[in-house]
Amino acid sequence: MSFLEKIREKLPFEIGKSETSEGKEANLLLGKPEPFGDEKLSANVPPKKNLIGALLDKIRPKREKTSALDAADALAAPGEEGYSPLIASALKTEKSPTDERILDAPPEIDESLLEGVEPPKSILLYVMKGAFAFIVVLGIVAILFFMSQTTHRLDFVTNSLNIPSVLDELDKENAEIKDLQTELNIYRFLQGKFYLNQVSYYGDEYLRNYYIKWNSTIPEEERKAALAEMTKLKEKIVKAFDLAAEKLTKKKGIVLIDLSIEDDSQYEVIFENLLSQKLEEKASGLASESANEAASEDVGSTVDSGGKLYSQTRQLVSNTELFALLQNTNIKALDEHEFKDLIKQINSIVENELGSIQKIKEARINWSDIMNQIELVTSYVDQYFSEGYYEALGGIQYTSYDFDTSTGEITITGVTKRYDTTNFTMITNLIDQLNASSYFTGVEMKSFTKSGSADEGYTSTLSLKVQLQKEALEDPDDKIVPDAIPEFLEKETGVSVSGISVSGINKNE
Amino acid sequence: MAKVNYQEIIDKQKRGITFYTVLCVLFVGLIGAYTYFNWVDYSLHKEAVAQNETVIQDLKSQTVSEKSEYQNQKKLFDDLSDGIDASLKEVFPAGDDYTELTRAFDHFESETDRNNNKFVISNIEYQDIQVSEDGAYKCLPLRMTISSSEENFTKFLQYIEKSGSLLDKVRLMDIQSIHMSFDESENSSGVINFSVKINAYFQNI
Repeated sequence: MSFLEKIREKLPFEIGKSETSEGKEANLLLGKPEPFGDEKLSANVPPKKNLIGALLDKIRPKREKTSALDAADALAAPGEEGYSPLIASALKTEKSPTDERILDAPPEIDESLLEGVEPPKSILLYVMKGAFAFIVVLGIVAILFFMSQTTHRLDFVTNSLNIPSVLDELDKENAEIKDLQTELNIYRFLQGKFYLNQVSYYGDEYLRNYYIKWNSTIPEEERKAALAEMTKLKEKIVKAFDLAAEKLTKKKGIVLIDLSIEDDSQYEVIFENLLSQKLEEKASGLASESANEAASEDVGSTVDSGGKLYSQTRQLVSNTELFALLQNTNIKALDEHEFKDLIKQINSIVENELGSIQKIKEARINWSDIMNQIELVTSYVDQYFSEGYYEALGGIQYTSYDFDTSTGEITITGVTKRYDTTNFTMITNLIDQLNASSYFTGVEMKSFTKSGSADEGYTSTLSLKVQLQKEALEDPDDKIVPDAIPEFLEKETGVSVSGISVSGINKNE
Repeated sequence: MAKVNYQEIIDKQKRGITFYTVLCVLFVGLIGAYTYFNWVDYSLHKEAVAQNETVIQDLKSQTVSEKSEYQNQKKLFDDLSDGIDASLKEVFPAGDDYTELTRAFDHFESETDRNNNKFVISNIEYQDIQVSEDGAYKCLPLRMTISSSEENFTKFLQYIEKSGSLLDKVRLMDIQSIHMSFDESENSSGVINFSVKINAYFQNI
């Protein structure tokens, strides 16, 4: 049974079937034609009680009185066939009120009898109302569905009724991804930290050998061994550096579908924060564990060392300078000076104890090398400096040195001895030579005094204040080559640097 | 009058039909549009859920792989960390540890001093502890007076200059000043008297 049929059954009147006798009469009143054919066949259906029927019952006696006349009129006016005799008569009267009036004036319809008569209910209206209600319900269902699935507004319902929500599912998955990615990042960063430790550890050894190699006061064999060691260490450092770069420069974030995040670049920051937070939790967890287990020294130290590892690893998370260095450095192409600088740079930007050590090491001055430079420069002026020929041949003899790291100032005092009276030339040569060195600057002496005789030799005291050029100490390329003799000594001074022959002369004479 | 009411009701019904038809069309349109856009959103969510499942699987396998790589090398890493920590205890200790430092000087002296190659520390004087400007470390200043041959003097300077190496495990130190004087007699015998001011560093914990 269709929906329309159901509605039809519910209605108080018949649709598409022959009317009841009352209905027929109502139709007559309305001037509607009588049913015929199939419609007539259905006339046997028992009539339904309705208002129209009741009203027609009221007017029936009047109709019976005029029935004979009506029948005659109906016969006399075949042109009005579609209408009931009563209506036809009325029409006839209207058309020719004077000429064709055979009978008395037709009875007037008591329209007041139609008061309170309602027209039949419109099925279409019911259908439309029903359809509208259905659409509204459908709309509410749709709204509730989407609201429960794509927003959190109905979470209290979906959670209490255990209704699955795609947004909840997505949120759970996003949270799981965040956890997994953070765990992955932790393992990567812990490994990265260890590789950086390797770089620092081997780097420390490399720097030590670098110092040996470039310190002219150290024997040649030791320096050669240091160079060989540097080559081996470089391989290890390059490997550790590449592995650290691989672990630490990978993307830390994943782009998630999350309505609260508008810019995808925020994910990198979000995952960085998660990583920092997790490492911090682990560090503080281990730190408190260490404090609790302080009674057991071994366990405490292991736990404490783990806490320090997590804490130091956390410092790496936002170290963009380090990431840029790891990403942009072609470590294999670096020469030994650049390599040394790279190790120092890594130690300075990675926060650990080695960083502090590195800072101290960088600030200190290798005085042995400075002293060696002074002796070397002096030997350009006095060929037999510190070889024991001072008394016999003259030359330069220092009596005291004062080195001050905080000011970078060196005070040198000494004596020059010459048998040819050129003490002042020797001193000024020394001043010029010291100033020409990349190690020193601001060397001067404005007062010259000399005493002695040709037999005993002329002596002149010297007191020099020398300022260190700290930048030059960092650059091994500026180191003086011991075999080179400064040009100005040969061309300009006229003072012999070769001196007289020392053969047969006792050093201590 | 009644006829008019009757007709009015019919008209009202017709108007009602029109009204509900319009409402239905309007609501169908609105709900259709709402459903369409929300369905797109819902589909995206469903798609994201499906994508996330793949991502989760991928991440799980990556995490397992990274974890096992970490676990495999953990022993090496721990050994290295322990080695560094052990070296740091000597090179850059947590406290001033001046007793250990004094023993280290004594050890150097006994290793260096020879009959024909003198190295004798005649005085060590520790001063007040200082903290670096940035608070990263502390230092223990000390002054030493030493008589030494020139060769051992250079060795001593190198000993201080190489200090702080994790390999040598010598306490991190730095020469602040040196005062050397040569007496003619000493100079001839190759002995240098010098006093040196040194900073010995330790952690600021």
